[in-house]
Amino acid sequence: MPANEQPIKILPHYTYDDYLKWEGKWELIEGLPVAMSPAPLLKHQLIASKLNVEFGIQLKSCRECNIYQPVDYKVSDDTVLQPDLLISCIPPGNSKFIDKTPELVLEIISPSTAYKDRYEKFSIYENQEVHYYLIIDPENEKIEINLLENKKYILVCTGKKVQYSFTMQQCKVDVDFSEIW
Amino acid sequence: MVKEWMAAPFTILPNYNYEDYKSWNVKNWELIEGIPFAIQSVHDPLHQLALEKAFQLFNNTLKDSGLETVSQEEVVVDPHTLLRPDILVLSKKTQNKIKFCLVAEVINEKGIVTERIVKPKLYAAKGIRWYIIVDIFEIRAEVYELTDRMIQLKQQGKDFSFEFDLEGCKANIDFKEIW
Repeated sequence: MPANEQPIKILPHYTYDDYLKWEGKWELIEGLPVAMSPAPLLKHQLIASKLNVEFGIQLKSCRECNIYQPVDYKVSDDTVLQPDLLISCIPPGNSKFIDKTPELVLEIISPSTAYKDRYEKFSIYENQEVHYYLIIDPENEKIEINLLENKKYILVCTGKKVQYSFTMQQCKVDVDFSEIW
Repeated sequence: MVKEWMAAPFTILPNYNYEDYKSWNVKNWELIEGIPFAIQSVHDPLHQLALEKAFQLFNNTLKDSGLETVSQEEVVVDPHTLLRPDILVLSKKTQNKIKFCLVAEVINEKGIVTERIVKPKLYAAKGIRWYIIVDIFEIRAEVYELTDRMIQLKQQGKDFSFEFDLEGCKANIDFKEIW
């Protein structure tokens, strides 16, 4: 065969079983490995912690709602995501991953993940009918709250110092995002 | 307030480079045209056994030749492509310059597409003259040579020996030692 022939682009197609064997920090999107930032910025980590606390306080009295940070969200056998924060109202049992649609997912974006978070993951969460998808932009100190209505996301709230009232199953959660920056 | 996002109509391919790869601080990955490929063979005992035998075969044959045999060392083809061949024979005869002479990949049924179609051309692009496939699924070795911009199959089978010219060093490899 000619050595300089333009090769066809051949893509791998991995599954959850492959993903479990990998060293390093990865997500799996439609069979393709996607690298996660080795060490997110401190601001990213701080915001994630504050949000965990904020939602945690509000959901403390609820037995069904659990906050995970981070966790494997197995969307399908070839798609496994690790949102920065996930709230599920289904008991985890002994499972190593979440595979039932969560109530809320939250991604804290960085310049290197923004496109993936805003388009690819947005589409996945929408297709999975995740009720709320929150995108936090630490650099611009901005939050976007997307609410699923008629199987499509609607941006219901955006800004820096915003307050929003979430409804998750039987719980009503009022969160003040002005404290997270 | 309604914001309409377009659903992603196609898969967005990652396009990593060597700097990204280094930041991952991992060894069991290759990068081909920006796409990460896991080296899954590290979890396959049959693969590891064949690799060890093939490595010893080359290492023992070449030990006094001035050539070096290494396993799963980085071969950077371009800024978006980095391979870790199972076996790499290299020459350091030229001062301050390493010349890659031969690579061998041990494959099972999972590695057929990348090892048979993609990698030969990438190694050829790097100017590596000899490419060997050790197929543990078919119990067969295949020797390919890059000549005149062509990758030619020179010999294949289970029990055969082949004389390689590795930067002027003649080395006879008896492939039946692998099985």
